[in-house]
Amino acid sequence: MSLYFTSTFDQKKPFVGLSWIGPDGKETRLNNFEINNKFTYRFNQDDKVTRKLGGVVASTSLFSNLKDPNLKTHPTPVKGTYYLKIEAVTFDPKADLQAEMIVYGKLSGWAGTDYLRRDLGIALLWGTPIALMFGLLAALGTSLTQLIIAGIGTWFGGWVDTILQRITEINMVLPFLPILIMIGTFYNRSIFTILTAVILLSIFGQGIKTFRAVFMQVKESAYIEAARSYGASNFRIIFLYMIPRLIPMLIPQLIVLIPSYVFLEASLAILGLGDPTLPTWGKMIQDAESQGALYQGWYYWVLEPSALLMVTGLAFSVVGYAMDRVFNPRLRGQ
Amino acid sequence: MTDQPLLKLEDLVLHFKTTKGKVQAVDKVNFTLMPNEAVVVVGESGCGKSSLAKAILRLLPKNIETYTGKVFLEGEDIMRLSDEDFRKTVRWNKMSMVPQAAMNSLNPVLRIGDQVTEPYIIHTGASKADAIKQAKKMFGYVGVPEDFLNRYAFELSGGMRQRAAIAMALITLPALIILDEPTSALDVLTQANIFNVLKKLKRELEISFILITHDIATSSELADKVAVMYAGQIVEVSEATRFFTNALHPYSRKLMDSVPRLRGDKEPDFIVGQPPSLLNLPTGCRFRERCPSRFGTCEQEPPVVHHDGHLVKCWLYQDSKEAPHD
Amino acid sequence: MTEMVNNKVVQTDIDATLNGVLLSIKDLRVWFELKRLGFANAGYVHAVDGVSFDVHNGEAIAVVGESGCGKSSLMKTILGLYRPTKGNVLFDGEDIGKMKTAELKNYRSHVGYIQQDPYGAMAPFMSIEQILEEPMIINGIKSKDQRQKRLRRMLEEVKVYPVDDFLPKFPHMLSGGQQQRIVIARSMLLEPKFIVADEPVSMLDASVRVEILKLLRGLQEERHLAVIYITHDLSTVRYFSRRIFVMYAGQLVEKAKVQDLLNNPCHPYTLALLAATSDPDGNNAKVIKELPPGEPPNLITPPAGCRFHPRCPRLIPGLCDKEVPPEFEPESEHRVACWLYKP
Repeated sequence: MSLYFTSTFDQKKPFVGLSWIGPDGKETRLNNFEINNKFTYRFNQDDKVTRKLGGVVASTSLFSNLKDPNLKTHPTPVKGTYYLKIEAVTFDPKADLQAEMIVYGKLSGWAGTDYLRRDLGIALLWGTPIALMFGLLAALGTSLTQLIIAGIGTWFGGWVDTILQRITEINMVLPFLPILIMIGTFYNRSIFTILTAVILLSIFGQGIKTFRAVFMQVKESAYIEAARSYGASNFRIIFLYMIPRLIPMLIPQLIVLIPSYVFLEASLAILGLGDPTLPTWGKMIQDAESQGALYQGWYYWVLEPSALLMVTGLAFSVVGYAMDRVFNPRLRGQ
Repeated sequence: MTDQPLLKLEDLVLHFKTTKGKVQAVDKVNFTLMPNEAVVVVGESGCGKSSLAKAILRLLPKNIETYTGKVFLEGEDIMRLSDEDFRKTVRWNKMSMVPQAAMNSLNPVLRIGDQVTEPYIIHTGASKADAIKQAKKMFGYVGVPEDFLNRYAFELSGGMRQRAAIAMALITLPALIILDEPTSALDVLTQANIFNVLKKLKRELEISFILITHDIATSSELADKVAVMYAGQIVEVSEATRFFTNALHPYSRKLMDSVPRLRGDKEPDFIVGQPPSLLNLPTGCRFRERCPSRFGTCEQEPPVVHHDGHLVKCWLYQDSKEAPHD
Repeated sequence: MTEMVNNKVVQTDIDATLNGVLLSIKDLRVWFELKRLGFANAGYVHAVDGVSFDVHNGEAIAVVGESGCGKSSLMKTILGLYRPTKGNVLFDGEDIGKMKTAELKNYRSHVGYIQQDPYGAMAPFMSIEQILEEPMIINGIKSKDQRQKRLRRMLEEVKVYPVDDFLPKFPHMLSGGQQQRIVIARSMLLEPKFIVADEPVSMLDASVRVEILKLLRGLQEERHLAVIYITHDLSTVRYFSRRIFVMYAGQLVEKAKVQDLLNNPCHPYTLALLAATSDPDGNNAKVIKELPPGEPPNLITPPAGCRFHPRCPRLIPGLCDKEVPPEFEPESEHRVACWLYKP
């Protein structure tokens, strides 16, 4: 249960007093405090209120009969209309104050609820675009960059190619996951940091070797020779004559690569290194694990995000392999 | 003395089913090949000549629509044999083939010796040692040094690889070898050398050859008989010298006219237009559209007639005796 | 061109149309370094080893030789795709070997290149229109109108019509002959002064070859283009060139006008090539040809003296295997590098 305040003021911060009126009409003073531009009041974190209400946390005690002997063990909610009274004082003529109250928890949802009574369905839905975005951006960013690097290295040959190949080889030997763990632990766990780190570490990877092998063949084509003979510049040849040949190979590969990155993000979250502010599927599994979901019999909490991860992987793989058959007629069979 | 033909094709038909329709690659082909005779089948690309080779040897893909007719090998109709019997008794036993670009179809990861001996071991059940002896003998015939048996394909030049492929076709001493464009990718000296090899084989081992090519000039190096194929049909068959001095069918004449000659007095001429696609054949005479001598009757399919020692499928010679069709 | 008169080949074009040397090759050598372990030198492949000749404006010459003789490397050096190791390639008096990148690009716009494989010579993912526009875009013809005008005119000249039907097509939709016509059209778009044609018809069907060669000849005569025609098929050379150079193992062994070469071939290798080239004649099957044994030599360590000596039926021991023969001139404008012709 939280109150989100936003205010605008010149010099003096507004002052707010909170009171609670239950169905029996009794008004209980909760707390008074100053407001910043953005201020969040979390009922359950207010010790003063907790003490006042008999040592039970606000989200339970505010809705219960304080004289109930079972208050601490089996609280029973008292039904009726409740009011929250917010008295605010502003000190500047143009000052303004907005407040929004959010109450967490439903009793049930189509996907069930977690330990905080939050609807799992919402978490699953929230996690979907994050997973897809991460997977897509990582796969796309990595593959395109690899294509360009492989093209440049193969075309120019010589020391350019040698250096790029050595960098690739060294990078492929570096331990990928431990490095990500270090970045997550020591630096920043925001999803964009992780995404950037993943892309940077993946660029000089296997893809470069694969693309290079095909580029080496394409480089010897007669039409490339013809292009040189009518004066095409090096970069024109790389981008307009060689890279288009690889697109049919790139697209299926890209699609099949997306789920790997989705799983990577989920793995990091399960290890506790995911973005703590975003409800990703991996985070849900991690929450479930930290609450002992499997021991408590709350299987659905673990199964639902896992199922979504699997379905995503399967979907992209199936599409990817189908596209492979479209782009490579030889695989179509008779 | 009646010489029994070694090979006799009677109304051989091979049509393929493709996503674009029916490809009538071989359309009622008839011809005869005697022992120790070399027949050259000439035609442009897309006329069905490679398919003819496959039809004779039953090397068929899966998408066959029609495969009928009779193929008499030493008097026996081999079309009646089951696939298994065909494989055991005919293919690479009595007839073998040097396919197109054979020099590129040698397995790059096996030694030449292993590949060349394989057909011999399979068909005669001989031991490896005996097979190697046979392979060395064959290499002697084709002019490849014996120690090449231990080498890999990429270590050999194009000409040598082609000779190795010929040795492989030869190893079971078949009565007939079919060669599909044996020298098209080779230099002129190497080409001449390969033909010398073939001439020697014909003389010494009395083998018959069917040589499939689009190169008329080099085909004259081996031909006893020339068969011209157009759009799936044989339009003319004649003895070689007769053909090269005076071909009868208008297409044959145009082909001969288009050959650039080193020693000769005419500038070569080209044939206007293109052969019809085997997917979409015209009715009547298939050469009608490009024929300079066409006339009304050509809208019907011409019969095959004997004329002056040639077999021609053309209305221009209709007054001649119709060829016996047995 | 040539005609047969009284069983002899006779030149029918007028020599007077020739003027000025366009391309002059002087003692050209193109060697490729072989590396061991990526950097240690392990010898050189002497692909072109001492070639000299001139090409005049508007002249068609043929370079004949088998694969591995160096004719491809020679041609690519003339095109500016390889740098000469030694010697000079002079175009209009300027040495290509000394040109910088920008000058080289300018030079290349004056040379048209027709390759052997008509399908491979075009980017499979580009339409015909794009393929034809590329050389013009790269060489600075900025106006789309101008480019369209030129390419349409060129397509009509190579007899690919109706033009509008072909422009949006892709290379695999065309026949071999049509593909080669497009390649020819492309080579002429920048109005070159000369064309290098590397086996332009050897991958085409026999019946289409003559068509394409005649087309090339027509274009050459109309535009007064110099053409270097590289081939291994002697029988087509007659119809297409004024002079012919025979190449073996990186060197030119015989140079002559076509009529002289055919009437009076000198070098034993030339004789072998001529003997090996068949005309359709029923008597051929009865004869086993006399051919030089063996194969062309390894260009890393070529034979000493005359490079043909290990295979030559007329070897002079002690001379041919020790000393490199200079060029002798048994008749006017007919040069042979063979000790047999020492006067």
